[in-house]
Amino acid sequence: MGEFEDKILMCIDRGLNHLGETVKYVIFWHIENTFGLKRDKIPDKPEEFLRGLEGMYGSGAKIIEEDIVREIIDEFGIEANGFIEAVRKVKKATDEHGHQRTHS
Amino acid sequence: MLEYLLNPSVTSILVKGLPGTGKTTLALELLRIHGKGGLYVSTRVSKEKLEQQYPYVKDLIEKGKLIEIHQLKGVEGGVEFEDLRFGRSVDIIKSMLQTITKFKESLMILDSWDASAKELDIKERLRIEKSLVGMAEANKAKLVFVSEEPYLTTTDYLADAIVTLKDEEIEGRRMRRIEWNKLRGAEIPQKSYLFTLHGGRFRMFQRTEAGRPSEIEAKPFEPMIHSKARYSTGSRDVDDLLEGGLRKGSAILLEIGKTVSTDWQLPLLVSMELNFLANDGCVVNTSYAGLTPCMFKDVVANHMRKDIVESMFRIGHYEEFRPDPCFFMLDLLSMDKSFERLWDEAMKVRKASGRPCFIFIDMDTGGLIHSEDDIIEYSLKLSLKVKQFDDVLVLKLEENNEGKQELSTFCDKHIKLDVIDGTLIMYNVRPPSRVYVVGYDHSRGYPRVELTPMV
Repeated sequence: MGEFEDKILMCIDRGLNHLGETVKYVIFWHIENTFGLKRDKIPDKPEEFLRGLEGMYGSGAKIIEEDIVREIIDEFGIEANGFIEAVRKVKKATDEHGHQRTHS
Repeated sequence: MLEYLLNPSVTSILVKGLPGTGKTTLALELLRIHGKGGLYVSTRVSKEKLEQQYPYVKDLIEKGKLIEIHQLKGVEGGVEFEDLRFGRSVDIIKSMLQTITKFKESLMILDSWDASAKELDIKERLRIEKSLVGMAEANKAKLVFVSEEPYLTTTDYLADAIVTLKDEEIEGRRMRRIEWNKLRGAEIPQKSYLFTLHGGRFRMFQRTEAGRPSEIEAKPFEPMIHSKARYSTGSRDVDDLLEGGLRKGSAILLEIGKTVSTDWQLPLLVSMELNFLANDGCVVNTSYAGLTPCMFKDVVANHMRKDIVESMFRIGHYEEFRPDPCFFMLDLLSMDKSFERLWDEAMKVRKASGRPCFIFIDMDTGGLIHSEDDIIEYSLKLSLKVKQFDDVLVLKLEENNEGKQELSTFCDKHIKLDVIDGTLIMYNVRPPSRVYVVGYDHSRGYPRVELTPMV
C-alpha cells in the first residue's frame, strides 16, 4: 500500500471515528461483505465505499461523507466537493508529485 | 392501541420493565402486528426455549413474519475483536444490518439490548444506538430495544416511543400495567392501561365499552342451561369465576367500586336476570340506583318476550309510577313492610312459575330510605329464606357502604366490580380470586359478559 492509500485510509478512519470504534468496524465489514471491497482497496474504489454507506444510512451517509472529506481537506490542503472528488484530487496530486520527483 | 407504536413517525421503540413483566411477549406481539418480517436478536434465550415458551414463534417463522432468530454468545462469525463487549455489539449490528438491507421495512427486536449496552462506555453506547437508529430509518425498518434498566439511559433520549411494563400487586392480586412514557406522531389518551399475558399473548385493554342499549340491535336472549346444583349467570366466564355458577340457595354480595358507572354495572346483573327468566325462572328486584324502574325494566324487556316480563319480572320502588304489572310499591316508612312486600312478590311469581326466584336488592337505594342496621338485618333474614326455596339473593352495594364487612360474612360469595385505568375489572373478594378484565360482547344482540384473566 502506497503513501496515498495510507493517508486516505487514515482520513477515512478519523472521519468514521465520530461513529465509534464498533460502528466503524461494522462499516468496513459491511462494505467488504456486500461489495467484496477490502478496507485497503477503498481509495481505489471510492464510489463503492459511498454506495455501501448509503445502503446503511440512506441520506444520513452524506453527514459521514462530509466528516471524511473534512479530514482529507485538512490533511492535504485541497478544495473538494465530495469524497469521490477529494480522493481523485489527492490521487492526481500524489501522482504528479511522484512524477515530478522521478523526473527531478 | 399497540399499532400506535408502529406508526410511521416511530422508528425506535424502547420496551422497559423488570424481569417477568412481559417485555418479550410484547415485542413478539409487535412483530406479529407489523407483519412485514423481522429479526429477533436474543442475548438471553435460545431459539428452542423461545419456541417452547411462545409456541406461535414457530408459526411466525413459517409465515415469514420472523426471518431469523439469532442467539448471541459473545464473539461469533469471525469477529476479530478481542474485547467481548465490543464483540457482542458488533454481532448485534451485523445481524441487524444483514436483515434490513435484505428485507425492507422489517422489524428488529434486540432482546435485551441493555445486556450488551450496559457494558459499553456511555459515548460508545450512544454512538452505536444512533447508528442503529440511523440504519433503521434509512431502510424504513423499525427497531425495538428491550431493556431491564429501570433508570434513564441514552436509549430513553433516542427512542421515538417508550413503554414501561409493570407487574403490580393490588390487594394481594396481580395487576399488569403498561405505561406510555413517550410517543412520537400520535396522541395517547391516557398514561397507563391494563394488559394481560393470558395464553402467552400480550393483550392491552382499552377503556371498557358498555354499549348503550339504543346503539344495539336488541335480540332475544339465548339461555345458558342451569346445572343441577347451580344457576348459570348467562356467562360461561362468570360461571367459572363462581365455581360453576350461582349456587342454589346462596347469597352473593356484589361490591361496586366508586368509579364504576351504572352503564358498566348493569350488563352483569341483566345477564344474570335474563338467564333466570329465559330458564323459566322469576326475578324480583328493588329499584336500581341511578335508574328509574321503567328504564330498568326496558333493559330487560328488550331481550325477553313481553308476557314473560309481565308475569315473571318485578321491580319494587318507593315512588308512584305509571301502573305497570311489573312494578310494586315498597314502604317508605317501614322496612318491615317493604320486606314483607318484596317477599310476597317473590312468593307470587315463584308460585306462578313453579321455579326459583332471583332476588336483587340494591343496598344503597334502600340505605337512603331505611336505616343501615335494618337493611342488614332484613338482608340476613332474606338470605336464610332463599336457602329454603333454592332461590338466589344478590345484594349490591358501593365499596364505601358501612355494612360491607357484616354482609360479606354471611354471604356465600363476595365479588367486586371496579375500574382501573378506565378498564372494568372483576374479582372474588371472598374466596379470593385473581383479577379478571370484564368485556361486554353485544354481537348476539344482548350483553354477554366475558372475563379475561390477568396473568
